[in-house]
Amino acid sequence: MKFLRTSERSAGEVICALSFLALGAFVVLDGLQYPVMADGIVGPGLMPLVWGASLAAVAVVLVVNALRGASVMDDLPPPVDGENLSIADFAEDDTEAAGKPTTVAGILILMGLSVVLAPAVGLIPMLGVLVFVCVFAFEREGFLTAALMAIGSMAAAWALFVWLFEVPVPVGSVWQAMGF
Amino acid sequence: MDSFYAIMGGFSSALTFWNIVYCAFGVTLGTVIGLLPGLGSSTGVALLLPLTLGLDPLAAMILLAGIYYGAQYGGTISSVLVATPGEASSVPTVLDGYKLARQGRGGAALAVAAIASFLAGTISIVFLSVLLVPLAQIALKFGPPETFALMLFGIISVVGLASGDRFKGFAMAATGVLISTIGIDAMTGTARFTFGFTELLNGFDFLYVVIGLFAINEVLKAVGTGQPEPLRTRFRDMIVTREDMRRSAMPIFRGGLLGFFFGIIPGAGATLASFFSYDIERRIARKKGIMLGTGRIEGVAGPEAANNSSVNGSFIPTLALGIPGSATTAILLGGFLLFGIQPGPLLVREQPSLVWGLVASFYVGNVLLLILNLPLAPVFALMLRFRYCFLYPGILVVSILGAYSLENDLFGIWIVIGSAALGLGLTSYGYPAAPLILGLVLGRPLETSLVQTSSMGTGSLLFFFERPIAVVLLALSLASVIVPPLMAHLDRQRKARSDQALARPSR
Amino acid sequence: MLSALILTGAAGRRSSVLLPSVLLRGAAALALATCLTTSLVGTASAQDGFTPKGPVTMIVPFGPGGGSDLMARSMAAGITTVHPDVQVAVENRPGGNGVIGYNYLRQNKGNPQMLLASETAAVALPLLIQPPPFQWTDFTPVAQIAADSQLLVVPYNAPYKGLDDFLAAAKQKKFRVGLTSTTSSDAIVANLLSRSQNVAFQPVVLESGSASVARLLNGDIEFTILNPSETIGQLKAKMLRPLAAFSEVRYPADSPLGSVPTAKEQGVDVSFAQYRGLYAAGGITKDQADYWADTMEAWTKTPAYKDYIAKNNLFPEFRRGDDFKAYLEKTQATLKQALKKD
Repeated sequence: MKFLRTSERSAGEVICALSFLALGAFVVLDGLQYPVMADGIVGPGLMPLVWGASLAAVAVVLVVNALRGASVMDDLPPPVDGENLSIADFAEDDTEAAGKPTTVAGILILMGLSVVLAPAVGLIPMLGVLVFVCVFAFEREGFLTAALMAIGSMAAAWALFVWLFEVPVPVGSVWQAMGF
Repeated sequence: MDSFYAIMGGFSSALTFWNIVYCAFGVTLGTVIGLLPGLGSSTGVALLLPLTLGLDPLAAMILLAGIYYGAQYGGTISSVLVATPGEASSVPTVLDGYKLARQGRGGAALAVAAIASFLAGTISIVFLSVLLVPLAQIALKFGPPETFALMLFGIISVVGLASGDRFKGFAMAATGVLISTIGIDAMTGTARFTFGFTELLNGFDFLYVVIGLFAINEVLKAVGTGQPEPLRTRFRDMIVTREDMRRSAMPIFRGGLLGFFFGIIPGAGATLASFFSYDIERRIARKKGIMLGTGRIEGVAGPEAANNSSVNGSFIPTLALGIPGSATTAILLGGFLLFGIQPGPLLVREQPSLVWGLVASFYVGNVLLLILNLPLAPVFALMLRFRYCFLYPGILVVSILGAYSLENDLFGIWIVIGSAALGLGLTSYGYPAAPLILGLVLGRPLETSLVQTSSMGTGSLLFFFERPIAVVLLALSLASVIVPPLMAHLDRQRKARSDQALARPSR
Repeated sequence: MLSALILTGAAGRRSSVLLPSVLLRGAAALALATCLTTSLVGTASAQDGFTPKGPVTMIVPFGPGGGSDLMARSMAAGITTVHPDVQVAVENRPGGNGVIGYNYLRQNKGNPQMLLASETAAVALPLLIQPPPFQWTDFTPVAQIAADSQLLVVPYNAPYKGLDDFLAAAKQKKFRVGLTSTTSSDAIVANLLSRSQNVAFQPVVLESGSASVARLLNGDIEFTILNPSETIGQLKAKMLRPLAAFSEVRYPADSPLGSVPTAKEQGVDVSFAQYRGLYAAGGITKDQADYWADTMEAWTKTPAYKDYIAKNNLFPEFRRGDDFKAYLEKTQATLKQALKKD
């Protein structure tokens, strides 16, 4: 995993490791409210205590490793040429592709919006909007293509989930109010 | 040997024209169910069980078995092509299958999966018909202490999965176990870590996390780091080669055996079986200098074989004792009840044609899948020839709707979004996703069996020492924590010494 | 849509159908109804105040294949038998010992087409979980359709042949009892037994009847308390032995359990039966509640109902409306007693 620049990489590594440490510590402390043992029978507090503590312990090792800047890739065999590809080759050419972090954020926000607006507008229409925005705004594929993609995926989603498998997908109170 | 003749009789009652039609219908429908995340096979079987009431019992069971198999295979297709496993047991398939698909070998991966399922089904059906009764006794030996020890061994030994860093793997597995403690605890009814959300009382369904951590995570990764080029492979390259088959033969055999014996153990047989099978293949391949996790056919063949033969294994306690061996067989047993057939140890004797007909129909379902999918696998795989910018919006739509249909609740989609966002951060720093899923799936049964063990020992965990199988498994878990770092340490020392030895003369 | 497809296929194929013709006709009607749903909406006759329009949902607060699931599917089929144009979709919402399913019903307050296949957990859960997630009074108890009693089961080769031997042995050594949860009716029976006889048991929560059977067969627990339908296969195969039934009276003589003496006959005054019945959402009108109670009452007169009772070894007990509410209040008092922490 050599594709990120070292400084960025180690900062991220440290943040990840610290979050695990925080999670472990939180679980142990918050889990103290549940009894660990009662009359020798394991109580609801034991698992959070044991696994939270182990997580925290491992996270300490991870923090140390991350600060040292060494990811312990123990006993990886050397890649055999032709026969094999190393993991780094599978980072999907990160170094040359600029990547679009804004699109990633955009997709996550759109998915959140779909959930928020689904009770009002309906889930499938919101997913149509999601497809349209992805294709039109993020991918710049032209209005017509995007609209066709959106309509097509809404129709397919309706056919599979609503018509065939009778999933009670939220239809949207707005449409109901308008008398559909 | 009696049961061998019985199973032949089963085949003759399963192989009527209408039964094959039902089976084919079930397999096709099941494939569609399996392709859509959120509609897994047990949901599918449960959904259709009441609707099959108009059929005669064997036909209904054959239809349901077809759905079950079809769904398994549909899950394999979505695991390989868009990294969306439908069940915990197909998570290992993603690790190499998805890489294979992106290399243009998706068709081969799907074909090998179908062949592996078929061959493993053949191995296990022979075992099933010959060893039904003696193996049922083994199933009984696996009580809570053994289950606990086995699951602990599973979690600990598999943390190295798909990544070199054991510490990162363990951190993810432990997080999975901790997530599994969210919700009402089954033993005392205490609501743990719910922070006042009623939606969390029921805990996290692992499928939400799977959809977020695999399907959507892959999309985000691809979008964020430059989209993969559409595949330009020709149809011919999609077809399975002789070389693929040669490399898959032993993994299929090992996976088939492993899966069958794990299937016998009531509980989380299939998931453990496919993870273990992947782990074994990974270790064996490493000895040959091959890295699994980079798109190797062995990593698809083994887990798929294990997954499939565990189904036949889970029939053993179901048929011999009337104790369901897996969630799906539990539903099938419920189906027997709906038809007024009382499942139990006498079922095999009282309804031999139904029982063996059902077993035979599982096999027939396998064969039909093979016939359908060998030609279809490359066609499915051609989907990846679309430009990615047209592909990923579809993946998003199906993932979100699939997550919704899991419990018909919008709250689940938040879990999907959250795990996708967190997962993107973690996986790009080399934290493997698979151990988290394993921890999440095994966390509940791990705790449950521990509580049961302590109460079976009337308040003492020393009860473990009365159970030889559990003691062995616990010793193995302990060994797999201690031995690898020890070996690495010794290796380093030896290397340091030989370095010194080399360095000295030159001085 | 899928339902229509399969059922049309099923009804169309006339050979070798082992089911009663009533069910088949129901199935055919259901298939027709599904195909024609769109054209039929609104044309249904409204004779007595309330008729359901569109799909009716029946929630099962437990997983598929269990006793509640079977009851829900039988009641759903029964509703369609009585009113061929009403279709009922059975929806499993398991989790949290049933809390999830009941909570869902509570969220649907005022919806007359939201039903739930209920049993004693509705009364027991609020007594056990603090703060109570719901009360049974949040819902509309429509009707009780059956009583489900339980058996005390031991391995077939256990040395005791009756409840007295068993209790004498249990006083020597703390017996382990397999339970499905700490709140289920088997736990209630175990508790009542332990209080009335002054013996202590070690509960082992095994989560399902079949897991208890497996542990019993392996000798990991000494006894368990099960619904007959969960264990009748092993009883017939002489792997397990029933020592006592906790019903008021014996099972009918023609049932395979007719020879099992009740606990009361053996001088142990413990009897308890789970009710099985239908709940509707809270806040519905009397007309709406009566519609469902009438439907259930009509169903109890059909052969399909008798079949359901016989196959699942239940006792046919029907109560509706205020009768049922009075019964629930009594049950609540019994449970408060049984579940009291020492």
